[in-house]
Amino acid sequence: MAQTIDLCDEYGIIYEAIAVLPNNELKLCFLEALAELESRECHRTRQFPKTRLHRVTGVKLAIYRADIDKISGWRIHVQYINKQIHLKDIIEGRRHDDVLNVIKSKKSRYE
Amino acid sequence: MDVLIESTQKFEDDIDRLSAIDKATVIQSINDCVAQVTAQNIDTSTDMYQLLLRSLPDEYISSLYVLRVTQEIRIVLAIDEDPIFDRIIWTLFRVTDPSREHMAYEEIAEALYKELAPRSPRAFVTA
Repeated sequence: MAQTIDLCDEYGIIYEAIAVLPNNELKLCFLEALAELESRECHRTRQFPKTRLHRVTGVKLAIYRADIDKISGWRIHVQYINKQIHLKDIIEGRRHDDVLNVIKSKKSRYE
Repeated sequence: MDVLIESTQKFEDDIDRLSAIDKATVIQSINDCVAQVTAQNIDTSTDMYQLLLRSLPDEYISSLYVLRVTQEIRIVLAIDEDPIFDRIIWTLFRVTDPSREHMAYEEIAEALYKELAPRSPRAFVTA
């Protein structure tokens, strides 16, 4: 079985990332993030320690946020379609809006 | 699919300000909804509705809803299918009253959707 799942870049996000990421360290982080996103093992275990892959809230389309670098806040948006990861956007770090801060998480029932 | 219920600081602050009876009613209402409502039948629910949004880019459909708990209590929440993690996420944002539900809804939408505004034209694939 292949070690990776398909990673698609029809919008040129890799090209854009190399242009906009301000230093080589972040470019390396971006490469590491891509490697994690296409790792079949990460998808099997649902563990994404580097990218902290998380569903973007509030839209019906299944878009996910993946960290490039936690400190700077640079991240990418990806879409999951037919077991493929499609790169959608690269976003510069900014202060996370307080209204979105999740502080509590429960399975199945709110308590 | 598993269900994950997440709540924000503002939601927890809002619910803590309620009376014990109202708080219990809100909790029961949330849990009843989680048990009955799915991403497929949500649009036919009589207790859940959406408000018009100015802040959402055209290519998206909002998953923000208002849950009518009582005549005086509303919850603003989002319901999102999460196929990578095989679950549905309910995110509880605010508890409010009917006179302030629009303001709360719009404030949340603005915060959620500001980083979705495209910087260059891109088409999103719909499954």
